Amino acid sequence: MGKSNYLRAFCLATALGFTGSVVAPSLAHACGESLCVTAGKGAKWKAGGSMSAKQIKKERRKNRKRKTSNVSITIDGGRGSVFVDGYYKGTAPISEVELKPGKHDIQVRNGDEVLAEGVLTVPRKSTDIEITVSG
Amino acid sequence: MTSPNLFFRRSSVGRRLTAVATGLALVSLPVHATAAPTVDLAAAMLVAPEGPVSESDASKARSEAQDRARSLVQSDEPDKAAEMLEQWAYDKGDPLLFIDAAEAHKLHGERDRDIDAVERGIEMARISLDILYFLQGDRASPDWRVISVSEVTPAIRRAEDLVESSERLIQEIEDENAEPEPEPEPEPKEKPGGTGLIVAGSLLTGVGAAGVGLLGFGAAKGASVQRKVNQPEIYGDEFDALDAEGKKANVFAFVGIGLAVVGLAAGTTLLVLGVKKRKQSKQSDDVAFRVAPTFGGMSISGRF
Repeated sequence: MGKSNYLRAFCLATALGFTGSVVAPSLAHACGESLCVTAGKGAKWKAGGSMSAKQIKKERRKNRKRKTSNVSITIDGGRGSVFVDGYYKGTAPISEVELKPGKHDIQVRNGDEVLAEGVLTVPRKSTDIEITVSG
Repeated sequence: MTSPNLFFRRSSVGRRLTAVATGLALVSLPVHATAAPTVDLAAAMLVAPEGPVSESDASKARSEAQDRARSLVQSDEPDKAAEMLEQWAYDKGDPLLFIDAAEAHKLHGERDRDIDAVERGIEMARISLDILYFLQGDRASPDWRVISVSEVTPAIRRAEDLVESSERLIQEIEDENAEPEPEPEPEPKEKPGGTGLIVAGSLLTGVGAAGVGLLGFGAAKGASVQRKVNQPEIYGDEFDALDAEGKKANVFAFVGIGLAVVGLAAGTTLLVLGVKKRKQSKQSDDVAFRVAPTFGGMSISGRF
């Protein structure tokens, strides 16, 4: 399966309503729209998705006792700030952002321009997750 | 609640809040109240508001930071004020503190003509814009009330103006720092060839002319003495004195002849050689000889 076939499959999945879900296999590198995730098994990025405040609270309660994973976020060729679950988390490049397992609402923006937004699923097993956003 | 300009305007409400915040700070943060925290940007960037933040809590913390920054600015330490505000801004995720930090960085840069400081301020203002635009969207947590909704739009305007004015300041400093282009050193004006020969020739010709003068003087003097000696009443001591005078006149005449011959011959030769050399080395109009008929016969003119 060539590179163009991957792209076609990705576009088809988006058209069918799967909205760019990228499942990162074990220590794999997977890219969606303007964002790449390198992570251990089980990490998942759903581009464009969002979570309500209620969902965020529910996820937080559910996973509060679980071990955190380290997330680092870099922006390739630009700048931007990172917001996780509705809060300012820092300005890229940031590393060692500790996230509990479960779903997290993430947005990366440069001023009024949204560089990437979606829902990151952090696996239960603690792992390092690297996110690279295209600037 | 917060004055739009940290350093120059304070409302009475702001003063009261500041007093309360300062009092609280003195009780709860004795170490911070006496010394500005050192900046650890790497750590600061990781710190973020973890839980719910109310407007009043954020405002109190902001007032405290602004008060301390104001006193630092008043004691002409905008750099320390900028560092302190930056640290607090990262700690609290407060967009207004980021703008204050940007203003302090700009003040520092303006004072020290330091472009890096101004650029740092621009980055602070941009982070502030990131947060403010985020707060305008629907993803911001309803529990994160770091500023009131009504403050968002004016703060965006303030941050954008700050970015613009900081960019102008950078341009201004760059213009000041731009070294004036070194003026090309004037090329040493080359003397036209043969100048030395012409000068030497002229001097020798002058010496020759002086020799002719000396010859004339000696000859005239000699002739005069000779006329006196030829008179019959001149004899004895008077004759001897005139004889000595005549000999002296002859010496003058002979020296004059020598000088005239050597000076004129050598001077003329050198002049001719010099003019030739100049002609060869500089085939231009600078050296031009012109032979033209005039009313009195022939005239020679030229520039050298």
